[in-house]
Amino acid sequence: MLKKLLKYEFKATGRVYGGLYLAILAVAVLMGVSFQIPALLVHTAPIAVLMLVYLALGVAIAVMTVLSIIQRFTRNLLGREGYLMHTLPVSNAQLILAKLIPSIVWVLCSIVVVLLSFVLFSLFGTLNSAAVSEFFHAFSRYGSEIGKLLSSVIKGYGVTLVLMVLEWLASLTCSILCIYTACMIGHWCKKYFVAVSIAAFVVLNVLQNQLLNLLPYNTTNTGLDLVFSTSAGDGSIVYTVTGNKTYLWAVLAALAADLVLCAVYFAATSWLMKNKLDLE
Amino acid sequence: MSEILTCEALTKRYEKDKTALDGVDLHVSFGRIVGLLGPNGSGKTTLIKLANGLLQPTGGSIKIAGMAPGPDTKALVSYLPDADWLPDWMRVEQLVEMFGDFYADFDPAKASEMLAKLNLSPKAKLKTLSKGNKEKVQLILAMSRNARLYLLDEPIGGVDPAARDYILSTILNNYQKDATVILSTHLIGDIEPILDEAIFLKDGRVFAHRNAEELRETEGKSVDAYFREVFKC
Repeated sequence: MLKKLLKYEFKATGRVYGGLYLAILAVAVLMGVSFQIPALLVHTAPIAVLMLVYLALGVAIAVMTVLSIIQRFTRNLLGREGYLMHTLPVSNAQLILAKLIPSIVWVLCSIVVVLLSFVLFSLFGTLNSAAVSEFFHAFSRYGSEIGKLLSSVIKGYGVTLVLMVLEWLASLTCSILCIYTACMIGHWCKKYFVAVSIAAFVVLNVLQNQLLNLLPYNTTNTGLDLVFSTSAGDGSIVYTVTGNKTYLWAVLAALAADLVLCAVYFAATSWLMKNKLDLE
Repeated sequence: MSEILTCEALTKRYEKDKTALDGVDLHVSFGRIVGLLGPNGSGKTTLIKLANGLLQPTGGSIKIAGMAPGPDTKALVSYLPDADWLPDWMRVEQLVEMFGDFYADFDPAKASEMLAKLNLSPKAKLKTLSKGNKEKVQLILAMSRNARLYLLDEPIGGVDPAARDYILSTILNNYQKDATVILSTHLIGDIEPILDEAIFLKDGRVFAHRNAEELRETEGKSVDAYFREVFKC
């Protein structure tokens, strides 16, 4: 059933995101191409307009991503469409997951699309035959060194990097679930839904941060240490990358704390949905 | 289990001073067509929502086939709310597919046949349909399930009198005989011919729960006339 719920959730949300993503990528390409047209470097009005549109689309994607997390939960589960969703033969846990998973996916997609738009803009803005040959020339000269450096980073710091990504994902999940819990608390006092939801979100975040501050590890110092030295044998550069063990433990502790908070928010949202759901 | 719907001392308060249902005791068997009758604010919609798990009782209990409302009972109950409740960006055919995906007892062929009979295009987006046609689509979806209990909240309230007859015959012809249909409505005269039982709600309490035939014989008047007498303003 979760698979079916996800199918319809992606259908419902994809309509909006798809259009915005295509628009920002198209504008990025247009902006890049217009930088290659000498006349437009003199009369810059079209480029300025494109840049404004690009910025507006970037802001729209950011706002849309956050709003959609809230709206899909409140409108689809606590509004009129809730009559349908809550009469489907599915559990509350499945309903919550069917909102949570697409929200995470759309946040990641939004980040990737915005980054991709930068890449497209840079590519189309600077691409010419000289730049391409320069790029391949540089790559053939330094490619092996870059490879050596990257493999050293992965060898010495790879585990920490993977844990950092996981911790970021867990923290994102935690934030979305915190929004859901706050909305359910707001729904409980529905006369003041918006005010109570916002207040609940703020209070939950303050509490959450107080708890995270109790963690014994400081997560601000990454402990990444990169040492360049010359090999005694052939004189080539040797990269030594070390990660601070304390930081590794700090990331692990933060990950564990995020996972516990995710479980608490998920259970709270599910409990409130089972016991306090009152659809008008 | 001989009862499809059981309420015991069922109470629902919206706020401290607003009691929608007050200690309702009800026992409804399988295979009945039941009218849930009462004036505005008597608690009809609240009772139906409680049976669907859309509201939580303040006190007492409500059970569907012996189970508290949950995923298992939702597989047995086909619900038609009294408001727009379907995503209006979807096409009618997408809604048919969706119901088929989620409800094992949904019959897409029956839905397509009814849509064709009422000249409703499967390609139409819900938001482009008139209010009456939207209600027809919603009713068709609800009645295309082979459910054990149909909870229909004001199924004929928003459609023209000509369509009412079709809708009532749709309800009559599209449920299995061991299933129960509970209809809430003000239009008692229209549904009276099909009723087996009538539940009268007054100020959140069950004023009477009578067999329709027995009521007509004992009182010497129709269910509609009895309702008008009981709820005279």
